[in-house]
Amino acid sequence: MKGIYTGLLLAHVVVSAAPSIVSYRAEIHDRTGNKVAVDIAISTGANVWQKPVHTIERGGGERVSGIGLVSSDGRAVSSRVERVGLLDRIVCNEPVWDYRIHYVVEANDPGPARIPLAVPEIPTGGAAGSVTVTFYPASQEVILGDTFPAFQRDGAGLFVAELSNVPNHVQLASWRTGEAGFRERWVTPATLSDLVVIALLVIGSITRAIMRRKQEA
Amino acid sequence: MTHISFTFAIVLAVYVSVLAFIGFLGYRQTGTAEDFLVAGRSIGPWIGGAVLAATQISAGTFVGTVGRHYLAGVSWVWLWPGVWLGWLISALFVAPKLRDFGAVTIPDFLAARYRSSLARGISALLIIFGYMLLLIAQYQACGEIFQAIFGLSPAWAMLMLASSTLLYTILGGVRSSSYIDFIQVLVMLGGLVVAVPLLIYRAGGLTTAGQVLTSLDPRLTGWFYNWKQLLGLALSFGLTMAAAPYEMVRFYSMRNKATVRNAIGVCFLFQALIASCVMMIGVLMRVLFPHLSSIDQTSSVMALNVLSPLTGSLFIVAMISAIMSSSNAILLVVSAGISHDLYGKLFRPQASDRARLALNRVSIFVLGLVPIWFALQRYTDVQELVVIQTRFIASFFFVPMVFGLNSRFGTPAGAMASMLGGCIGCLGWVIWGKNIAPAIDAVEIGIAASAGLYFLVSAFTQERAVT
Repeated sequence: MKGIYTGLLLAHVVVSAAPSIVSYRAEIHDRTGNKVAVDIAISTGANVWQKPVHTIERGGGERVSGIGLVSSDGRAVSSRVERVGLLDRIVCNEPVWDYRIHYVVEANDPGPARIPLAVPEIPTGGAAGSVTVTFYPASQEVILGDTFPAFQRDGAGLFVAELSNVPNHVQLASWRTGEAGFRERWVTPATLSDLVVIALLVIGSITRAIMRRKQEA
Repeated sequence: MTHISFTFAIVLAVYVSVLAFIGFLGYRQTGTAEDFLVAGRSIGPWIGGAVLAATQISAGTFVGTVGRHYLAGVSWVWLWPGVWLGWLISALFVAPKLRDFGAVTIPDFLAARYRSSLARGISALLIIFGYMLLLIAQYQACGEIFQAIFGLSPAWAMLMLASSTLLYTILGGVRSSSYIDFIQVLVMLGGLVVAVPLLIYRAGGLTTAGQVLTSLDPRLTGWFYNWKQLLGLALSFGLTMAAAPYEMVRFYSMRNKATVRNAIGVCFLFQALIASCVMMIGVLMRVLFPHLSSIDQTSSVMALNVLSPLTGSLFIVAMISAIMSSSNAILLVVSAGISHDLYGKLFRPQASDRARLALNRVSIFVLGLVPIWFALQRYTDVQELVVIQTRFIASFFFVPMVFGLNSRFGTPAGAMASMLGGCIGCLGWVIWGKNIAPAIDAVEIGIAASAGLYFLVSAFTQERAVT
């Protein structure tokens, strides 16, 4: 039985030797106005990525400018940007393994900022914390209310999100201390979804109880 | 540990307490082996429909199908018409007749219909072989979820799943699992219904999501698979659904024929909602996380990073519920194959009811632990395991079950040749067929071999069985 299962299942094994992202550290610096500077340090560890490609989404109406890549020794990495539908593809002309991408995002609308991240077209290894996004707020500002992904405030007053995979964007709203009201803090899609879940469970339980009572009667 | 770990621990503790309570109630009400296996035939249409949906909506759905939608986009949804066609065949030609037949297991029916103890033995062995594959898929999915959320070793996650599932399966059999399934469907629907609008919002709306998907890969919003591949996959799922022993054993626990038909209708409603949500989750997660490390972690990554801690925890519990529900159903079917069909009917027909019940519980315990080793090898993704299993079950049982229930034609030799031929045809094609004709699916070969042998051997053996 063991042999049959092993043979049967091994027929579907796919072997892949592609490099993966070992660490992805994004830093978002809040600048004045609607601008933020994004600086991302990426490493593929010991495996060289021969044909690096990254995508940046332009779905939210934000403007991305000043895209540049540098290797860990500070040398500029030759690259070009190709536009494919709603994506900008940053195609590097040379292999990389330890490098940084930087660009500036300018939002059109006030409210929660949608900051696109450069997503490598190879996955991470999936280890928890292999991807971090750190938000450096302007002085006396904090993140409140709805965010994507979830940020935690660290001891230095920075906001850090730890993930195992690279998201295509970050969504957050920063406020001056004491400026945000009840609505901004609590009336968010996440809170509303929690309320819907609680309501569904309560209604479901009551319905089940009524059905059972009828059945017994 | 992640930011939702604390909330998750509380939600999970509450949930497990409810399960344990219901399992205890089921244990107190379970007196005989038949009570254990078919819940005294007392289940109504709503509970029955929820049970059918919960049994079919497994790790294959929450982990595997979501992952396949993530990988292949919307075109994977064309599998569902196949599943629903299978349900339709079941509602019209299989389930009510089977319920009327009054058997306890599928081998019971095959043995009586074809008047052959050997048919009982062969079908019981094929059930054990086929469903262990599905159990491996459930365990592997559980390992993926716990690894993604807690960084926990898959082996520990699988042991935890095995011990909690074994506890309430051994204690209450079908009676407790039926009511637990109802609660699980509620939890699953709650998690899914809330996740979709939140994902649409996060992705920037449906229009933006569609455009991003097309920009990533035009096949994600078009055709990732060709029609031959989709037909083969839909056939696998549909024909399995029409004759799936672990779904059918649920029909036995329902009150009567009318309840069975109504329960299938209720099950359609649940499944249509779940199928839509699962597709949306898969494709929207591709927008938000274009290159995940493992497609099987799509749901877990969503629960962790997209949903709020409470909703995320609930969704994870729903996934674990689905896995437990399916593992429970599979364990009941395979253990019945050992205790009822092989031991109780073939080897020790004089065995007492108490001895069969004890063996049933022992075999659940043993069979619950064996697949852990295979699941730890991670031979392929969860959905592929489910697809392989559906191919086998359809190839073993569709022909002898459907024709056996609806026609007087068919002999014991024909039925056995059909089951074994379907098995060998499907197994051979899974291993070597890709090199010969990759466009032909293994289920098509399995069903063709099964049907051909059924009619050919029956025609030559010239016996008429009584329906």
